[in-house]
Amino acid sequence: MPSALVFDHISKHFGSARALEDVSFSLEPGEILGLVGPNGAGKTTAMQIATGFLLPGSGTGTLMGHSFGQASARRYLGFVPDAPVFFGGNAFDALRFAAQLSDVTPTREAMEGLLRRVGLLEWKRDVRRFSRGMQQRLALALALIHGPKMLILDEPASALDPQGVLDVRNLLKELRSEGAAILLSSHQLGEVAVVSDRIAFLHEGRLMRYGRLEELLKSTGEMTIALRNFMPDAEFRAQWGEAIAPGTWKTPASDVRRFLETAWTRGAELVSVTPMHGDLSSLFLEWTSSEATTR
Amino acid sequence: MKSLRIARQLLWANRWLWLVLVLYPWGMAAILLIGNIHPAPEDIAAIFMQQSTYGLALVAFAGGALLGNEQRSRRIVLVLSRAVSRRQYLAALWLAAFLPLLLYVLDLALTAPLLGAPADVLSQTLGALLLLSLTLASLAVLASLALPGVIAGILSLGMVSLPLLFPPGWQIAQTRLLQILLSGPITENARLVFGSGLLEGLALSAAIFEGAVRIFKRRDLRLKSE
Repeated sequence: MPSALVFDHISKHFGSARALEDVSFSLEPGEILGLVGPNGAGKTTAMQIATGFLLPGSGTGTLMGHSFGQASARRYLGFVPDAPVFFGGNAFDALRFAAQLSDVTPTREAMEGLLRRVGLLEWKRDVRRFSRGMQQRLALALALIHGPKMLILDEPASALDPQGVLDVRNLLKELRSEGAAILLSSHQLGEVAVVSDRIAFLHEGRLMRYGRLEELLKSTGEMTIALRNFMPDAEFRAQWGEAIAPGTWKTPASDVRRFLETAWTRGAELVSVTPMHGDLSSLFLEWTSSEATTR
Repeated sequence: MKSLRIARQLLWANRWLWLVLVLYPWGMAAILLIGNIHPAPEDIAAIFMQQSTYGLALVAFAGGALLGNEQRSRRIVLVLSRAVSRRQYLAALWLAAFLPLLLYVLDLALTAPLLGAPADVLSQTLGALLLLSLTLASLAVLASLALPGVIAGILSLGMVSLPLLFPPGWQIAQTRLLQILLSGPITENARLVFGSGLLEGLALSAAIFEGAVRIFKRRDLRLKSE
């Protein structure tokens, strides 16, 4: 089975502005990839290239084995844009139109079932009069009407209430278990962390971090060291900073040995050395600031 | 089939504009009939021919504006994120520009006899309008790929009128159709002019449309970011 989504050294520039630079990653069936990055990082550009709205400047990509931009590729794709828009009519009209464009003819019962699945219970009103949250639920239903194998979701829960966010989370997990591949972009990093198998961090068009979330969380590169029977003197504090908690210091992994030697010569006893585990939000801030300083 | 479905949605989305344009001939007829105004036959013919040229403007400005509107509103995302090719999408734009003209022509065909417009003026003018609009719709769609709606409309009207500038030996059937639309019916070789006009219109329209598809396939959509 081919990868659901492949970005192979894709670059995209708008005039002199770099939107994406040599970005490569892949997404397998039954996997959720969280695409994160600050505003202007290139997330939307990447998604618009995958959907065929934008053409890559260089590099190639495939969606379910078909080149980006081919209508045949989008037969397998469900896309939820950040700001869904509709032609009008009620929810069934919108679903029917979307289904026709995807070469399927769902029954009324199937459409009702889908609307219930995304938590949309208002069916008769003109969809353009829906609240933003209802429109997001409807956009999810439209994306799922043809049973896609690949989903690209751009902020799918940004306008939803906490229950809605939970519903979307559960829905994504269900879809993953059904074998769908999902590319998820969101600023709700807690949600991304909960559902994603892998994370791709984009910054100024470059893919800076890519891997399984737990590995990325381990790779903060910092350790916490707990000591006892130790009162640091001024020289030690000047060298290693203040404790982050009583008897506990944070230090880069590469400095652990030097830290311990310094502490031992002052009579400290080691309690533990453990890798620091952050959450995605703190990693995001760390990555963003570190990329900004290394520029 | 998909193109027709998309076109139907586009027409429904812009239904108030089409409705006004389609009702216009009835409004004009009502003013003349209810106001008990009795223009001379040649004035009737002139009014009718003028109304027919508005049909060209309808196709040009609709065809020129649709793509920009759909990109601005981002409804194009709803369509092109599905199994719809760019060719099918442009075909939908073409249909959405051309189909209202059929209604407009039908309106004119129904209202003109009420006013006493001569039958030859009626048939030849409406025929010329329809055949010229085949090419015009493609030109408008092509121009809309690069230009804002109004400018695309004006440019496509200019382009479709270009055959009027051809020297006598180089005139094509489109030239004769334009002359019919602007100056009145012809008496000689009418069948030949309309037959060749149909073939020429279909060929030109297809060639221009194909060019538009090739360009559109190589272009990014212009989507406003949120």
